[in-house]
Amino acid sequence: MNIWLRNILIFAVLLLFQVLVFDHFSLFGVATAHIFLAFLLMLPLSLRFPILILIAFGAGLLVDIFSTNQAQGIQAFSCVLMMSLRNFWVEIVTTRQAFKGNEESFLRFQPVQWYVSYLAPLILVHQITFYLLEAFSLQHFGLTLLKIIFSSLFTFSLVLGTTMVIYNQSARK
Amino acid sequence: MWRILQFFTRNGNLLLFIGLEVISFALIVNLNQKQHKIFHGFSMEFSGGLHQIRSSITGYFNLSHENEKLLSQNAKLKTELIRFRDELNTYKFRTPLRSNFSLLPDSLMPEPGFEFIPCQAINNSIRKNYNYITINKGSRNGVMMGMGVISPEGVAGRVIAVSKNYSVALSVLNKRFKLSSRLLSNRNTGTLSWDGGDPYHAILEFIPQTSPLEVNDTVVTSGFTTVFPPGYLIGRVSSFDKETNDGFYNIRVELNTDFGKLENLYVVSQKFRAEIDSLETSSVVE
Repeated sequence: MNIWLRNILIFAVLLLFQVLVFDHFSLFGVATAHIFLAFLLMLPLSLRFPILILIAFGAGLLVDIFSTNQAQGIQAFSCVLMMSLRNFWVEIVTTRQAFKGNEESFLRFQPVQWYVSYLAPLILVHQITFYLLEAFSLQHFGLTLLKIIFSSLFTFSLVLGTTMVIYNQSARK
Repeated sequence: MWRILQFFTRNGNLLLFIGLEVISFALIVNLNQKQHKIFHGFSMEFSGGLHQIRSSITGYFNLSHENEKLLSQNAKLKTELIRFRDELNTYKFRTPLRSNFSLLPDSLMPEPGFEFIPCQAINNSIRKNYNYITINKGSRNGVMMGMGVISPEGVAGRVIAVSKNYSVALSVLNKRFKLSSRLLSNRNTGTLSWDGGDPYHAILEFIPQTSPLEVNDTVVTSGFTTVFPPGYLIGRVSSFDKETNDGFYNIRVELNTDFGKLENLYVVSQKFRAEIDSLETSSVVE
């Protein structure tokens, strides 16, 4: 399948999941999963920087528009920040641990350690930005911190699962 | 020019990143009520603080002038007080039984419910078409939206935005400012507004040509609103003509307040304002 078409399809499915399911579903009132991040984090490494962050901006904006119970523009801001850090972060991670596979579906063949050290900090950056912007003040900082920690864990595990499901699906074909 | 182009191509990624973040931040601040409120409160506090610093420095240069003005005002008030006291005594002697009514002129009656919050103008413009005054008192001192602002010489403006420690008032020298006012000589009421340009004159509308009018007639607030106390000085008629076809005068009013030198101001707070306003809105049947 065409790589563009494939990615658009993945994004559409994840957007639906995000908007219809995960936006209305929070564990203990603090943990909300942002599953559509899996799409951004799976984008090929060969994409040039401007295109990459434009995609991030557009995806964030779309989620913003379709999410009803969340402040507008926050996803766009945090997605752009996260994706602008991604390529630098990949370089840093790769110097420590060997990079396997190709740049297109680069996550598929990586060892677990590489995988975790790639995903976790980027998701954390996104979640910190997101919840700080949502609160927009340091008044109830304890609650914001709880939201950041638990949502990061929740999002991380879901993104991990989603990427694995997607790669397994495409491996079978 | 080539250098500028080079700069953009070399730092294009950075510029794109900053641009996108600025756009999304603007969206956040403009589309969400909570974030909008916090951000604008913060920026108002910030610019208010800057103006405060500036005016606390420049305020020293005007101290002697301000002193003189206060002294002369003080003297004027004292003479007035003595005169009124004498007058009161003569009335007391003459009509001991009726001393309670028809005795005092309007200006000596304490207006019920009006209180004045002293404050300073820390930023003020007179050259634009829409001028504003920034005041160093805010919601913490009891200032609220819609309150009137007066200077010792006359009416100055109306509060339109309030943060914790500062507020911004629409100056009389603002095209959006409208004020119900009254001619002291014939008790007719009209609307005072400003047409831009000249910071010493305003326009008085809707005074019918059937009523007599003279240059130098005094214009005061009408007291139809709870924003200003009734009978507070605005200015004097400087010129008028009848060259209209709607039956009203063209009147130019010389403002008594010198907006170029605004410093000490008072915010007018009406204790019963909420009561009066709610009564009025509830009794109007459309």
